[in-house]
Order: sequence, then structure tokens, then C-alpha cells
Amino acid sequence: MIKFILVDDDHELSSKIVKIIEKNIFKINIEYCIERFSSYNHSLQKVIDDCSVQKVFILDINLGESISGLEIAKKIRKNDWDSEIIFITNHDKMFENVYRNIFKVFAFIEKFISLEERLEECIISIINQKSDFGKFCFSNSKIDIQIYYKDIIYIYRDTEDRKLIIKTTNNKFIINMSIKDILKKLDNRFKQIHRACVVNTDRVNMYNWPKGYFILDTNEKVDMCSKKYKVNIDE
Amino acid sequence: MNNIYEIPFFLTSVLTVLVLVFCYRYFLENNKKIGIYQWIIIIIIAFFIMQNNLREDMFLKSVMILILNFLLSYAIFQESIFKTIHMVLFISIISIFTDLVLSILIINVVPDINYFNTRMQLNKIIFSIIVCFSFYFICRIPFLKKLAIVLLLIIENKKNNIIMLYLIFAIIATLYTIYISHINTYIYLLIVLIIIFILMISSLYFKEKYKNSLLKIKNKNLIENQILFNRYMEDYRILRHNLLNDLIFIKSICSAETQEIINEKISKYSVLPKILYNLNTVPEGLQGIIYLKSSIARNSGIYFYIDNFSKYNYKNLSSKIYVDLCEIISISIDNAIEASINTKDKIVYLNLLEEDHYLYIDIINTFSNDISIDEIGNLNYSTKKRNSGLGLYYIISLNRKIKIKKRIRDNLFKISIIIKK
Repeated sequence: MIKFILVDDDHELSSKIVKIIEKNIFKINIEYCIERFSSYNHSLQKVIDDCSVQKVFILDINLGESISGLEIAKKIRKNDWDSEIIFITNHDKMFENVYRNIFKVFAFIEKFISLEERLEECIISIINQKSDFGKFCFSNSKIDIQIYYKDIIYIYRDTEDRKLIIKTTNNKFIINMSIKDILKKLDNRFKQIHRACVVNTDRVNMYNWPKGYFILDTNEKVDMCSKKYKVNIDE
Repeated sequence: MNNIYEIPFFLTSVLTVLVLVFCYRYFLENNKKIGIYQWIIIIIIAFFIMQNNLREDMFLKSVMILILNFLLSYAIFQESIFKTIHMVLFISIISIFTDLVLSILIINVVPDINYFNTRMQLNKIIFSIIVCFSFYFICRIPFLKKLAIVLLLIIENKKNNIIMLYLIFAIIATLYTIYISHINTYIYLLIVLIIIFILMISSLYFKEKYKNSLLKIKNKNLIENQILFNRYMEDYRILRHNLLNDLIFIKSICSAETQEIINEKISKYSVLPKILYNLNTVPEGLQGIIYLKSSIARNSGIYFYIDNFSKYNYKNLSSKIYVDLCEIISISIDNAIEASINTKDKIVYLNLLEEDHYLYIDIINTFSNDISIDEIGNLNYSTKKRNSGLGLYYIISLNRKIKIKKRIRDNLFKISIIIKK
């Protein structure tokens, strides 16, 4: 089930978008529903707070007297980082790069330039994309951390500091935890393949058990592969 | 004066003037040759100095010596008036110092001072010759030349201060002449110290008052300019928006060929304005900090974006909280800029919003450092491997009424500054 939430004060455009959604969903044959709002209100907030279904928000940025689409996006992202947000905009792209990164906006589609084609592309790719919102969460008195499982490449123990290092696509996080404890916080895609290493199996291209290394989808070669743990991968 | 001493007195004066000329030449680094014209001046000045030495009034005598010195230096070396005055005063200080030291020495060394007093004229001549030679060699000390040049450079930059120093010197010299004739050393020193102290205090006071009045004028102009700037930016934004809307509308009713031309025009007007912030609700001090930091970020190629949906009146905050808040925001933005500079996306985002009874200031940035989760926010922990780590530790402990939360989501680092309204 996928829910499309459309927030636009222009009824003509809003109807046009509904038609585009229905046309594309019909091809794929998936259960769906569409809810339309012309501005931010209590009912919309209820929909935002409901996390039981997968949601796609299609927001117009300029909503007349009501709070803008950008503010609605912030309200969504206050607790919900799994739903997709698509902005329907005029042309002012100055904030596009920032919002795309900071609020994980799926797309900015211009109202007057190939709206139909762009929206179709977005809907199809959202439906086809694997819903993968599993997160590694950790918090202490100083900081809260959330890292998507799909972003974690592998985790290993640093021999000098005796701490775990979580290697993600862009960063490294150093954390004081045992391999056993961190495995409890991860899902099934993470397997221990060495005494001091856990790997995201979705991110591994090749294991070389005899030579004791594996190669990641980033082409990085890691020498932490032990035959003793081969059984974990074969399971 | 006995006639027998007139010629020696005159020759001593010529010697004094010659020594002064050599000293000026050395200090001014002016290699002008001494020709007939210069000799005439030297002789005239020497004559006047001799006449001046016959005066009884010490104060007038000193003033006259200064004037004659100035005329001598200016006529022979023809440097700027300011430079000449500076050198005359500087050399006069050295000569007073030489005179004083030698006087003390002679008083202490000579056993019977009455014997000297009976031969007053001769003693004066001998003493003048000794002073001349001593003065010549003292002036040759390289340190004094360096000092004179450094002072001259300072004069060019800080004329007011130097004028104040010279005024102090003039007062000291006046008092010195009074001291010679009337009062004792302790009272003299006390008066000098009190006058210096009063002058220094009043100098500082007037300087600060002047600076303050200048700042007030500048601030007033800045605020007026800022209001105007914001108004123009808003007009510009609306105009640009309407223009693009019109172009897009026209495009939708045109042929494909014309649409391409209009697309070109649209891209021309889609150039991003550098500053389009809505910071009107933020007080000027904080606004200044944010503008400055945003400029620094932009110059480093960082996307710096601000959202301000808050209408909070910052005047409700106590001045202590406001000052601390400014410091926290400043340090947090600095950290954010530094952390995002090496990332692929280079983004710093500042969001000011109000919710319930709280004012939130969120600073979000991209980062690509190694982060030790257990150590972040500790003293001396820095993600930049510099062991500075003062910023985050400092702001967390700065003010208990300002709460700070840190959060990491993938490659985004977020600092939330929370203040109860």
C-alpha cells in the first residue's frame, strides 16, 4: 500500500497531478490511495504523524496564505525520514541543492516544464525502489546517531584503540561497543566474517576465503575474511 | 659680561650649533653639504644662541632655544615642518638629559663648588664645551637614531598620540625650568606624575568618546542601509518572480522554436542571487554574525542557506543569554563551515523556528570526518585531528539556560540550540 499526499492550492494543477499518478499506478498494479489538501491543516498533520504506510508527499512550495510547502516538509522530517517528498515548484532553484540534501527531498519538479514526464519518472522510481529504511540507532548523553543500514559498508575492530569503527559510504564512526553487541542492533544483511569484522553483505562484490579478503561495491579491498566464519555467509 | 669672554662665548655657541647641525644631519639622514649659505645661517643662529644664554628667565630661554633649533634645522635641511619639529624635540630631550647628567656629575665630583662660582663665565664656557662633545657622542648611539625613526613612523600613523606626548614633554620641560629655580625634587616629580596621569586619563576618555560618537553615526547609517537593502531585495525578488512567471506563461502559448529562445531568456534570469535571506526579525548583532559567516562560507564555495520562520522578539532575552547565544551561533557556524568544506555537497543550513514555548536554532552541515561517538563534545576532542576541541565543549558549558543537542544522520551533523521563551 502506498499513499500519495498532494498539497496544492491550485485545483486545476492538483487534478492534473492526480491523473498522472492514477495513469502510472494503473500500469504497475499496486494498492494505493490519494489524499488532497489545499493547505496545511490539522488533518494533514494527522496524515504526517501516521507512520503505518509508505507515503509520498507531493507539495507545492507556494501555498498562498497558508504555510509554505518547505515548512510542511520540515514538519514531515521532524519524525519521518522514510516518506518521499516531491516539490512542485515554479523556477526558483536557489534552495534546491540544500533541501535535497538536508531534508532528503526526492525531486523538484517545475510546474511549467515537462511536469508530466518528470512526475511519471519520479513515481515509477519511487514504486520500484526497494523500501529500505532500516537504521542503526545509537544515543548517549552527548549525541544521537542514525545511520541507514544501506549506508554502512562494514564494521571492524581497531586493534590499537580496541574500539569499533563503522565504515559508511562517506564517513567513519568510532564507537565503544563489542562486535556481539553491535550485531544485535543490526539486521540480517550484516554477517560476521572475521573475528574483528562484520560486513554488509549487500555491499560485497566478492569474498576470497583462501586469501582472506573481500571486495566491496566501492572497489575497496579489505583483508578481514576468515574461513572460520564462511558458514555465516553460506547460511 | 666681560669683553674678554665675548669671543670664547661666541666660538662656543658656533661649536654648539655645529654639533647640532651634525646631529640633525645624522638623525635626518640628510647629506646636505655645508656651504657658504649654511655657514651664514650657523653664524647667525650662534649669535642668537649666545644672546639667549645671557637671559636670566629659564623658561623663555628654553623656548627660544627650541625656536632657534627649529629655524636652524629647517633652514639648512629643508625637511617637512612636522619631521623637523619631531627631530628638534627629540634632540632637545637628549640635550636636556646630557645637561642634567653632567650637572649632577660635576656637582658630585667637584669638592668646592664656591670656587667654581667665583669663576662663573669661564666655567660656563668649559661646561658648554664638555656638554657639546658628550652630546655629540651620545647622539651617535645607533639605538637613539632607531628610536627617532620609529617615533617618526608612529607620528605619521598616530599623530594625536604623539602630539599628546610632545605636550607632556613641553609640560615636563616647563616644570623642569621652574624646578631649577624654585621648588624641590619631590614636589616637582609629584606634579609631573599627576599631570601625566591626568593627561593620559583625559586622552583615553576623549578618544573613547570620539570613537563612540563615530560608531553611533556609522551604526545609524548601517541600519538605515540595511532596511533599504532588505526593501530593495524584496522588490527585486518579486519582480524577478513575476518576470519569470510571465516568460513561462508566454512560452506555453508559443511555437517550439520561440520556446527555445524563451528558455534561453529564462536561464538568464534564473541566476541565483547571492543573498536572499529573511533575517528582519533577528537583531542587528546576530544578523551581522550570520551575514559575515555566510560570506565566509560562500567564499569557500559552500552553499549557505538560511530559513527564518520565527518572529521571536529577541529583546525578551536577557543580555547575558543574548551575548552567549551570539557566541554559540558564531562558534557553531564556524565548526559547520570547517566540517563541510571538504565534503562533496558542501552545505551549511541554518534554520530559526519557534515551537511551543521554545526557540530553536538548528545548524545542519554535511561532514566527512572520522567521528568518535563517545568522545564528541569532550575537551580536546576535535574531528579535525588538531586536538583543539574547544568549540563544542565550550558552547555546551557556556550557559545552562541555552540547551544544545547534537544529532548525526548519515552524513549530516545537526546542532540544535534551544532557548525557552
